[in-house]
Amino acid sequence: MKDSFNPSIEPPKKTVTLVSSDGYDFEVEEEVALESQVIKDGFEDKAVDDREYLLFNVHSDTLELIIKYCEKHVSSRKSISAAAASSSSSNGEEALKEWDEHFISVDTNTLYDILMAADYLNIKSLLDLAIQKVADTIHGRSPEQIRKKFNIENDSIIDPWASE
Amino acid sequence: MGTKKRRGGAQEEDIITTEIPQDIFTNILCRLPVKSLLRFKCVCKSWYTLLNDRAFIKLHLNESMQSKDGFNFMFRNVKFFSVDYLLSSASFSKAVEVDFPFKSPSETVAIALGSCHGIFLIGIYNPCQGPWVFYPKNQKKGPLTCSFVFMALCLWNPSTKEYKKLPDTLTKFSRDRSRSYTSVYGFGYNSKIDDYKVMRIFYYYDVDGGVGGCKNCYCESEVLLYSLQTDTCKRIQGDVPYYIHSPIQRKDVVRGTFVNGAIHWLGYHVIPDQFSTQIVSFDIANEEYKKIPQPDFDNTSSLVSIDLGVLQGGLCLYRKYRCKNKSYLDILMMKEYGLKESWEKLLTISPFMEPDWAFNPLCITNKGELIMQKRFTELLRYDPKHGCVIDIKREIYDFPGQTFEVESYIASLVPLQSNMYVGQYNNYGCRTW
Repeated sequence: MKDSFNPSIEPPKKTVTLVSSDGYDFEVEEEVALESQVIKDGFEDKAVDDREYLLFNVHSDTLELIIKYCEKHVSSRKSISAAAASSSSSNGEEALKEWDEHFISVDTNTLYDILMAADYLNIKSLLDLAIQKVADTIHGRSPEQIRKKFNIENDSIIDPWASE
Repeated sequence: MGTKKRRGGAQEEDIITTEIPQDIFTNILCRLPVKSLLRFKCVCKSWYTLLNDRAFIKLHLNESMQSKDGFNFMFRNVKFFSVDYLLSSASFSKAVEVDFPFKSPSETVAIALGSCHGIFLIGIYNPCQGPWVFYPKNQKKGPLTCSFVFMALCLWNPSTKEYKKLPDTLTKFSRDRSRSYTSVYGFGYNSKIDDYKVMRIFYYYDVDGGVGGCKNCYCESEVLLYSLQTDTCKRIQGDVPYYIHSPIQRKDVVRGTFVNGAIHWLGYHVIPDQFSTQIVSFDIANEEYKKIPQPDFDNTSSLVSIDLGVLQGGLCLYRKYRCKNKSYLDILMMKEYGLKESWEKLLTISPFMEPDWAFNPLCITNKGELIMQKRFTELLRYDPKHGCVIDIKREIYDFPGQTFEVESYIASLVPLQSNMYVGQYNNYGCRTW
């Protein structure tokens, strides 16, 4: 081995710094940050002391929530696989689903901030969760309510078969 | 981190101030039920364009097929009723009557002959004039040869109400009509060329010949394949190498089961000494007949009946048998299409079986419960964990004393390119066939 680098003597918790659009620093564990596909891509190529990410599109309010989500998912995955390894019964998946449901029950603007941030950071499970939540909140609305909600001008040509 | 203020005031709580990228927007709309999308077509021009876009409709269909939110059911007694089953609340929506094409009170009746991607193949007939039923002479055993004579065949998307009347060649006989015959139907999708196909087989019998267990099963077969894309019928040359039959005599016409790009039926090979039931398939893309490998069964039980179906997107075999004076129904699924070893038993239902009851499994819920129809009159939810059965028909609609047919389907926006809608003023073709 040319390289004398030995992973076992690395400190157990490596951290990454995420900087929000309004200039707040968030120091998070590496594995938590790696929930984002955008951070994961090219992560290994980046120098260890340069692991700082400026997230120009994510406000600190939203970033705080995103980190909370990622931390929960990383820890839940560990406990689920630990339970599976020891073949003890676990309702981890169910509990996580419930946690997700609670997590995403936020006001409209926060929901859209999470949605945009999950898209920007490419966190697929969170993006799915947010998209499904938006779909759930609009599916029963009338066209007029939809126009209002999305601030759409009514330039519609009425389709007689769509009105029922 | 310090305290931060929330952006936006409480008064605009429900209005989205963020500009949503188009791809996310498309993704959101993909998860909405068809009913909502139909309503949202009149939100604005750009939504109208998106919701009529073929690429979007396909995306939405794929999303609906993968989604585990619920099922749609189509009931038919004399009329058609659509019902949604929501998994989250494990409950049914109210049954809504859906008008079928060419519906006219007391004059026309329609029967579903197959469904795929939310489109139904339906046959329309006049209950006063038909159906004509033929029984082969000298029949000792084997299936009845009875068949409907349809006035018209239609493709129909009950969600959008669009329908397409199929060419009359599909319902016409090329042979002397006094001869008895059996009709077989199949409906499926060719993903390679994005086309829907209808297959129709007529088996014409030798008048003096019988069916089942004797030589000269049938004299000749006639196969037509219709393509929605080109709106044409073509004849497939040569006899069908199998005699496709109705598995249980409850079925008036033989319908196919569409899975994995092929239509499936049960049939015998035409060589008389190989008279065991096979799973026969017709691949829509390469237009070839094939035999699908079946699981092996033990010989200690006596087979009562066998049928095909689809559950969770996989080809299933429903096998009813008797063993030690008890009746059972096994549901087996071919987990990996075409692989004999991949047949796996999903369920065995026994405690409430009677040998002569017709069972029609419809779907498996997220809790592993089976929703099925029994004897054309009951709808049951079977919980295999506790072995209990609940009658759920009353939750939907009371069809008092009436038999009904039911099947599960996926509601879709898939267009039929006809621009003909049920209930539309210009009711072209009505009663003019």
